Amino acid sequence: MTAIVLVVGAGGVGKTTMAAAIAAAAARDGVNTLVLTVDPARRLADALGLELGNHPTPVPGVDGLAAAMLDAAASWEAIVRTHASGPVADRLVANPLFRAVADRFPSGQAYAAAEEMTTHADSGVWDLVVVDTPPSSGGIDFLASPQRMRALVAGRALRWLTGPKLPGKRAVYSFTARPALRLADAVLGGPLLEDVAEFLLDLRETYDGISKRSRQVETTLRRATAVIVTTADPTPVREMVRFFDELPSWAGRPRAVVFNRALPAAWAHAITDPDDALDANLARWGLEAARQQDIRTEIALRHGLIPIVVPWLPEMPADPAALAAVAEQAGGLDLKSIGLIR
Amino acid sequence: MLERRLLIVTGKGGAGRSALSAAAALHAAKHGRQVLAIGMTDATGLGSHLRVPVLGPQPVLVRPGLHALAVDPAAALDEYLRLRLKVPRFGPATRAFRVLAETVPGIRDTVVMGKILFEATRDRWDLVVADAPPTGQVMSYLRAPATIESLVPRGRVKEQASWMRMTLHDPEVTGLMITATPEELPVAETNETLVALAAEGLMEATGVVANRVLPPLAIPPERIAREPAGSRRDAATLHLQVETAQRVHLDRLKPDMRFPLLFGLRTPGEVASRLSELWGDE
Repeated sequence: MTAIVLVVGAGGVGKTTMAAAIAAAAARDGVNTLVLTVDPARRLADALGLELGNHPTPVPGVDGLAAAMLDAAASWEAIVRTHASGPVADRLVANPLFRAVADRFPSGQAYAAAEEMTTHADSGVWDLVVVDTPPSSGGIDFLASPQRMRALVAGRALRWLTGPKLPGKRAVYSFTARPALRLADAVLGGPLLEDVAEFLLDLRETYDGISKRSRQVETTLRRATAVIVTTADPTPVREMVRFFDELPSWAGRPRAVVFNRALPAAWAHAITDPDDALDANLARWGLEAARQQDIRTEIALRHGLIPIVVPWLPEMPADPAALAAVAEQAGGLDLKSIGLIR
Repeated sequence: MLERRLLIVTGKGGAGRSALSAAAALHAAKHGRQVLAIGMTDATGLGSHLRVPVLGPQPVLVRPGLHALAVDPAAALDEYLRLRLKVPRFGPATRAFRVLAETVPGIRDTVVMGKILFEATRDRWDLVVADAPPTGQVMSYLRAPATIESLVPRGRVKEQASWMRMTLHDPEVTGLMITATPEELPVAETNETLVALAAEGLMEATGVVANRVLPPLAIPPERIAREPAGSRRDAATLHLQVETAQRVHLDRLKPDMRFPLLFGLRTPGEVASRLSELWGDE
C-alpha cells in the first residue's frame, strides 16, 4: 500500500522545501516517490522540472522521483466532470462563479489537493506520496476539507434555497426560498441571486458523487502520516499548537516536528566579551539560539514529538541532491524516524 | 504610511503582517491618534501581537488611543444588511444573503472590505490599520467591490460597492503596505502583487516594507577567515552568508522601509512593541 506523508505547517516556514527534501531522500533510498507541491518557489519548481499541472512528471536526473504541482481549477473541473452529467458539467465549468468557488472557497484548494493525493495514493504506482499542503491554516484546512466539501454540497442553507431534489428532473427553487429570492433581488437590483441559485442547483447534481468521494478521501487521509514543519518563531509555533488542538480525532498523530532555520545549541549561553565584535555577534545569535532551544524542548515535551532540526541555511536548497542532503543531515528527517518505513 | 485614514497591511504568510500591523497601530496611538486595529482573517494573529488573547467583533480598548477588533464575516454581513441596506434582521432576505455569502466568496470578501472601509470613514478613528489576508488572497478582497459593482446592475448594493471601490482607490484615504522578508518567494509575491495592483488600477498608494533584515555585520570577511574554527567563526559566517543572500532579494524588492531581524524576542507582544519603537527611526 502506498505510504502518504502530509507536510503541514504555517506559511513561510519552508514546508514545500521540506516536502521535496523528504521525497528526494526517499527516492535516493530506492522508494518510488511522488511529491505533490502546491506553490513552489521558482528555483525549486525549475529544479524539479515542474510545470503547473496535476500530472506527475519525472524529476530530471533522479530515478524514482516524480513531482506534480497542484492546479486547483483543473482538479475541480475533473471533479465536476466525474460527478455531473455532461451538459450540467459544461454549464458549471462555464459559470464565472465556478472558478471563484474552486479557487477561493476556503477549502476549495485544500480539497483539490486532498483529491489529487487520493488519486495518486490509490493508483498503485507509488510507494510513497509526499503532499505539501496549502498554506491556509497550518494544515487543518487540508484535513477538514472532505467534511467541509460535504457540508457545502449538502449544506442546510443550500437545501433551503434549492428545495428537495426531484428524481429525474432538474431541481427547482424551494417554495420557502422563492419570496426571499425576489426580495433579495430587489435589494441587489437584479437577478444575481437567481444566477447563484442556478449555479448551486447545478452544483447539487454532484452531491452524491462528491459526498461519496469525499469519504474515500477521508479514508485515505486516515492512513497518512503528518510531519509538522515550523520555525521557532512565535507565530508559526502558535499555529502549530493550534494544529494539535484542532486535529480531528480520526487523523494520525504526528510523530515528528521539523524545526527549520535552527541555530546550533552550542551558541546559546556562550560566554562572550561584549567589546569584541565577533563575540558580540555570537552573543546576539546566542540569544536567538537559546530561545529556539527552549521552544523545541517545550514543544517536544508538551506534545510528545521527536524534534528534528534543520539548520538555518542562507538560501533554501533547490536541486534534488542538495535536498536529499538536507534530509540526511537533519538526522531524522528520514522515513524511519517519521514512522513510515520499519 | 500612517498619515492616511486607512492602512491595509498584507504580505506573504510568515512575513510579519500581524506584527507590523500591531506595530503601526501602537506607534500611531502613542503619538496621540485614535486608532482602530482590525484583524481581517483571524482573531488570534493580531490579538497576540497586541497582547489580547482573542479579539471579538466589537472594538476593545487595548491601550489609550488604541482599540482592536477581529472581523467576523457573519456579524459583518448582518451589520451591512441592517445599517447599509436597511434589510430587516431576521427577514428572508437576510437568510438568502447568508446563503450567498457562504457560497460566493466575492460576497464575503466585499462585506469584510465594507466593514473596514466603513470603520475608516467614521469620525471616531483617526486611523484604521487592517491586518489583511496574505498576498495570495488579498487581491480578491481588493477586487471584490469592483467585481460586485460589475455584477449588480443597479440599486443600493451597486452604489455601496462603487463607494467602496473609490474609497480604496483614493490615495488621500487608503494606503496598502506589503511586507516581505528578503527571500525568494516573499519578494516575488510582493512584486507580482504590485504589478497586478497597477494593471488593474485598484489602489494608488502602496508601500513596501522589508522585514527581518539582518543588520550589517561590520566585521571584514578577512577577519572572519583568520578566526579559528568554533562558534565565534560559525556565527559570523552565517551572519555574512544570510546578509549576502538578503542583499540580492532586497535589490529586487526596493523597500520603502526596513525593519531588522529581532534576536531573542520570545512573544508576539514583545516583537510588536519593539517594532513600534523602531517605527519612529524609519
